[in-house]
Amino acid sequence: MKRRRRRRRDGKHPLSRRGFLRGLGAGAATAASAAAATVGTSACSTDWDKVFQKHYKEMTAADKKKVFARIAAEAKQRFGKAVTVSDPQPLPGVRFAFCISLSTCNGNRKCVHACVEENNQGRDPAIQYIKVIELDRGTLDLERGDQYYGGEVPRANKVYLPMQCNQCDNPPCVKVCPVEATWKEPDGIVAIDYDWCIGCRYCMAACPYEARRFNYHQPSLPASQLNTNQGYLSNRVRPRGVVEKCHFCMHRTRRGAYPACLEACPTGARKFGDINDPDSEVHKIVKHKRVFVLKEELNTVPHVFYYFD
Amino acid sequence: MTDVTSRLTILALALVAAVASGCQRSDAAPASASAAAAAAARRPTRVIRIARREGKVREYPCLKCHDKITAVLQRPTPIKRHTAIRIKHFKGADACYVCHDTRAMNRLALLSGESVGYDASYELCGQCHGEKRRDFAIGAHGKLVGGWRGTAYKYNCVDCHDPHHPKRAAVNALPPPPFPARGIRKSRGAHR
Amino acid sequence: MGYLRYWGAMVRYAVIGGSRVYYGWLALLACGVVAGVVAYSHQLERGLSVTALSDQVSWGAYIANFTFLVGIAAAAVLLVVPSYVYKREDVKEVVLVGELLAVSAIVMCLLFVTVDIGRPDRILHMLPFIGRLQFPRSVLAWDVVVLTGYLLLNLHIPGYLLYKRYRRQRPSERYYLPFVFLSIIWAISIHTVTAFLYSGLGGRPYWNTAILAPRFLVSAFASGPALLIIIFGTLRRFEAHDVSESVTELLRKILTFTIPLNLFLLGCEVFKEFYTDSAHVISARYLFYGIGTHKMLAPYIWAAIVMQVLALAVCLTPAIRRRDGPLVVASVLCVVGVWVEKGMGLIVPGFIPTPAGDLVEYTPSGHEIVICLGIWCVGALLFSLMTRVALAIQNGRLEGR
Repeated sequence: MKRRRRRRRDGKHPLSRRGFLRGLGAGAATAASAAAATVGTSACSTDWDKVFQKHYKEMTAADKKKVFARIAAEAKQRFGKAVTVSDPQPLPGVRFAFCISLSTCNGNRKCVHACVEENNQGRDPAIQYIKVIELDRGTLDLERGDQYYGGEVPRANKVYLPMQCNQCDNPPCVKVCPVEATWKEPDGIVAIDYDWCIGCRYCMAACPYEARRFNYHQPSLPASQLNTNQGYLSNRVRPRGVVEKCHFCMHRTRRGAYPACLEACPTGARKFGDINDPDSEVHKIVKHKRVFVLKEELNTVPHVFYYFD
Repeated sequence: MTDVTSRLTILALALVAAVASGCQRSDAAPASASAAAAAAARRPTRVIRIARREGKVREYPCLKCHDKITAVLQRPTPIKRHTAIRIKHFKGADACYVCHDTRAMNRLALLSGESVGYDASYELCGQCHGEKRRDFAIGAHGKLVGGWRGTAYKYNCVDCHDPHHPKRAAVNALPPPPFPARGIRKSRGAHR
Repeated sequence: MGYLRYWGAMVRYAVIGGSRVYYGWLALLACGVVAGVVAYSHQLERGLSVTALSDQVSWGAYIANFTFLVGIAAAAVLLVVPSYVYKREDVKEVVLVGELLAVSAIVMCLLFVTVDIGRPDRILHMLPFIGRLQFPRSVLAWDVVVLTGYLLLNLHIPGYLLYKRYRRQRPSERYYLPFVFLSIIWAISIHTVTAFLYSGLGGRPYWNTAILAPRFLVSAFASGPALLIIIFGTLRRFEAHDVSESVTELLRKILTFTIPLNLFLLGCEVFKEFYTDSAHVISARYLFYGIGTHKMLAPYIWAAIVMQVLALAVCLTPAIRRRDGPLVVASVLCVVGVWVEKGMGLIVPGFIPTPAGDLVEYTPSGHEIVICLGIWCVGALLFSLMTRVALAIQNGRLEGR
């Protein structure tokens, strides 16, 4: 099926040498070598490189350059758009945190959809990193909440609790990964190497916040909606069969910007920053307000704090 | 036989030790004090400015029409000429001059008699909403734009709340995630 | 060279000169394998979207079967201990069957894990040096290591003994006894580690219980002997292999301890959930009573309990407990009961509700069912071929010159 689709695409783009080689399949060695003779050897090694691509942490600068170029080329081929793939590094001394005011959030879900657009999530079936849970006032029992509410918000006597990856300091998901495809970065973000994940979904079972999502399908994404500013560990288009989740918009926040969900929030309920900086909003909120975290009893040490202002 | 058993015991102990050391491993390397100090030195100063308000107000400057405010607030609204204004605020807000300065027309009057510009209208709101005022000061309340590092701008209270009708209107939520094919609808008390 | 000839002889014996029933059985299994391979190739092509798994219930039939089969593999120890430690001659004659059952079960386990992962093409990432196996921190990494180790142990021990027997040489204890003792500890460890896979997750209260490892072991020691009773009954009937009555009697006695113990541990869990009646009771309530009109698992779990009680009743009733027929029926009930209870009955409620309070049910899709059947057929096929050869060598029907 896949192979047939690729052949069709090759028909449209006769000059796509990688597609041509792939279309032939690995078994057709003679044809491949003949093609290699005409188109050069660089394309020939791409699939081989993909299989033996190193873990992100083991990549040298040269490896990264090559891998990022491959990802950009694949995006170009699939979407017909030029994308930039980068991996901004953690800023020294910074520890990111989110603070969310539950008095202010009105459950409008702008954050959910801004996140989807920013982070190139699959649209159908929809993959969303943020769940907004509608709770009755007087309870924070998530099991009594509803994440499928619609219509006019806020409704009387309801509290809206946006939930996403808590970027825990003691993350159960990192502990269980059999292949170290997910780990904690120095700035507190739990990252995933989508090219290393084997898709066992143990991290999904381990996460107490249901933050992780699995690409059961090849993520579908219209070319017009592709965000071309892409990070290797964050919002590049994911392959099928791997796990993904919120990464605090690593490609934005490591450059000083706010995450997309915060920018989209019309109420100002979301606060983001470096908790190590005493002048930052998040530092002051945690210091002066009565904040709480979800499922504190599990000792995951989350870095998404909730408060009522 | 005993030889075998003792070897096995040693192996088992070694495995236990390996697990214990593995569990102890922590990803977040504790930053040393000097490193933290260095980071603090490199850190750009966080400056938060209040977004300007003057110029964004529709019927401003007031001096275009008014030279004084005398009229007691009319009920029911609308107020003559200020047809867009609907008033639903605190009970005492029954006259324009409760907030608007009668002496300096382009300014607002605090209860102390002090006069503040529209850019500092949060000072006026803060007279009653003290807790919100404190939250606003530390950045816990009020939307910020610009980024988490360096300079950012904070919305004024009246950027989000109509001062004459501060309760925000209900909005339509964007669509929810698709309900799972095999999901169970929760009705109150269904599983309690 | 001699070793190669030995393998040739074994392969030849496995496929030539069997009875009609034997070939029929092999053909049936082969059909199952082919169906499974076809279904799996679909899954490879279209991804795990062909399964009924979701973000809410992210593990299902594959992992449930995996869990059950680790228990079957571990249960081989119940023949290994009396045979090698207590030197019971009657058990020694069939201990090979237990070990080969363990081999087949482990192969099935590894296959179930393989079909469950989203990127089987990246399996290299688990290998030492090439990959980055997070050992010993990840329990899943532990599980892969111990399962592979157990597979090697159970290939080595019968492999060595059979080869020696084939060559009509006396096996040297030095080359197998240490491994036998290691395999005894290892058998306990594989199922403990598998239980730790679940019980170590704080975010899943239904699994996060210390009783899980003991429950796993006890239920394994119920389903394992029951499966062996079925196998021995079949061997007596169709292969005319005379398995001593005393071995079946030993296994039956084990069942009279492990089935009630298993039900007792299940009861402890049920008491804790329902008497505490905390917010976490929903999983157990879903399993036993359903939520609202959604009672998918409830009939199965009650049936599983009834099956185990019936199996126990047969094992204890003096009039029928020594007769092959009723005992095999009881064993089937026991195996199926445990399979339901610690397979789907354990995995699925762990995901209901989800950590964010969502309630999503799960029943395996057609693809999942066919792939599961296919893997069971692979295991059964492997076991049938290996057992036929092993018994022939052991009984002297297949010997080197």
